[in-house]
Amino acid sequence: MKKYAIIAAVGVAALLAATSGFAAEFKLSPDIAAHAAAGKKPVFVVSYHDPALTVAVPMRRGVEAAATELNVDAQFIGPVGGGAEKQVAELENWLTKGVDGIAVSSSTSDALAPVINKALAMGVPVVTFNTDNPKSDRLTFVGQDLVYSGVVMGDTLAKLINGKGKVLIFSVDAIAQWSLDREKGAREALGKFPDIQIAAMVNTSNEPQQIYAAIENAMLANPDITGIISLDCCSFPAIGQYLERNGKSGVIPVVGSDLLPQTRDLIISGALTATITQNPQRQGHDSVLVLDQIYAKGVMPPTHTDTGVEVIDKANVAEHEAE
Amino acid sequence: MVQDINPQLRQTSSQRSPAALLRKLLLTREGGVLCAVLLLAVIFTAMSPVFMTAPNIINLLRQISLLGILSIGATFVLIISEVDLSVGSLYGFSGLVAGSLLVAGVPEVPVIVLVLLLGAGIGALNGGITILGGIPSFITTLGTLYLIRGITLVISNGMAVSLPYGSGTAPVLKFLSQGQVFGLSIQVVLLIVVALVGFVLLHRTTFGFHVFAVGGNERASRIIGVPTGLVKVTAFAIAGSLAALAGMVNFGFLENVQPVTGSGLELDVIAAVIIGGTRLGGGQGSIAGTLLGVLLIGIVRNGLVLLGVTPFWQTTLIGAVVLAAALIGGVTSKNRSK
Repeated sequence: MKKYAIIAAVGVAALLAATSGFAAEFKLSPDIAAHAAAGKKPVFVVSYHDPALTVAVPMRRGVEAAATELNVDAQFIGPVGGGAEKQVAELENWLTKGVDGIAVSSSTSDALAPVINKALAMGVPVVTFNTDNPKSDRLTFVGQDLVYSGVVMGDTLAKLINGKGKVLIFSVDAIAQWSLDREKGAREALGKFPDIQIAAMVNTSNEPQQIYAAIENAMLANPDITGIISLDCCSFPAIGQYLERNGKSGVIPVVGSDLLPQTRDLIISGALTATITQNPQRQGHDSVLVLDQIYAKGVMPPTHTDTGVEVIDKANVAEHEAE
Repeated sequence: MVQDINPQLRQTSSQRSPAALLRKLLLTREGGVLCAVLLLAVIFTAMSPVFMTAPNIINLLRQISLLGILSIGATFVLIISEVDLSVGSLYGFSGLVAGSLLVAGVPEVPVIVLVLLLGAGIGALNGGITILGGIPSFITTLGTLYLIRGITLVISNGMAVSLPYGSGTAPVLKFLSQGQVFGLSIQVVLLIVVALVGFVLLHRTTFGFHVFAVGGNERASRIIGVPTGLVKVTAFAIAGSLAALAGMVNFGFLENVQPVTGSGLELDVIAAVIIGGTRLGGGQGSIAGTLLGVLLIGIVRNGLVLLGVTPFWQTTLIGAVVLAAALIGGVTSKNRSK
């Protein structure tokens, strides 16, 4: 965690010049400024768009670690099962109750932008993490450049299939902003290879049985597939299971996202080829860190605090713990 | 001039003509949905060369198995004029409890028995609260939907439970969920067994007669001595135990369960049962109709992916097909009552 703190602190300082126009003008509310001046322990809320998702577990760990490290009260919240209106209502309740800073991963940009801007207008610092909200005036985005992570997925797969073949893309929620961003990046990267054809974009839904069923159906409808991209954490291991059970483990390269325990096992077994990690634990941690720097030191962050993109495959998976 | 020597015989013959048989079939409770299933099958076969192939049929049957098991339980509840919204939560909870116990090293058979009893117990509790509290089951099970989901999140701390990769843990559960006989998934065999037991229980026993009686007219049933409370609690317990069974099989198949597994599944279950001809107001329904309703939902999901329909259109088309199937069912029901 200390390593993350140093990297983020250096990044914040070095990119101070890149601070957005709004962030430069932002002022803490008199109440929050008084809390900070008195050295009062701040209360931050970190609102994830669905805290029941598996990928939220390492984020919560990161938030808890930062809270201990920085001696702040940081609470990981969000609507279980998702839902923009529930997320908005929860944030409004926190604003009523009083909070010294908010980090938000938006269900949808449109729905969350007004409440983010309302909080900023009240003098409550708001940053986005994991999924950005470019429609709001958020002070910074802590997370991966999702379009870029899609580009890395596409590039990685294109190399694995030697720049030719038919590709399937899977997503558990094809209309979510994070999915649209990654899909855009992946299509951009694959589009550079005229001999690569994207056979279909398959929306699996979040229900595990439906995810597996959609994979079965898509694979049967496209028996000549030579490569697969999974844009998310959760359809990725199911693809590995399907390939393993159907004697195709290691035959079709699969590039996906995150390093869940099942994903790690399936990369080791060779059923899955490579994953693009977004370091969710660091995203949770650095959201709190950035809020604390704004609160305690008045340091305005740059417009993007990048938590990086790392490709993990069989060669280096042993060096990484499951997230 | 030909003399009409036996008008009665002629009438019987006409009744046995293919057109008359088709008309008779369409007027049955299951006829409308059967018609929709066949129509969709023809459309998807014409549009996708893969649809009517053996591998796809085998996949499709496996894909509908767990929904089928859940829906058979829900059929009993809907026929008694009640509804169980908690089956999706119970499905996820059962998988998580079974998974946690198995990963902790508890022997498999006791875990399976315990989780089935737990499911039946929670189902019975739903029925008990509804009857003793005089609360509509919609409200009772809406409460338990959230309660069970919340407990699942609390005990899992939001984390998924997975079987250790490549381990020999849970061989029975893996066989029940991943095993095959003659190329057919054991899940399908499980569905057939559950459907047969459900059919006998609902259509060939006194209990089944009581289920229809309570759903048709609860007050009259009570007057003639039907133990209405017991019948209702038993129907809920059947739904609960089948949700637990499906939840465990899901865990065995995916070797993983997330705390949100099964969210929203209750809507698929209710849709399948209603499409299959079970009356929302109770008193009417059948296991065969429910299976057809499940098959229809499965065919739509399967076929749309095979056709490569974009994700945005898939949801729209699923809704439209479900609505169309319900309308066809409604029309045949009206004709039947004429």
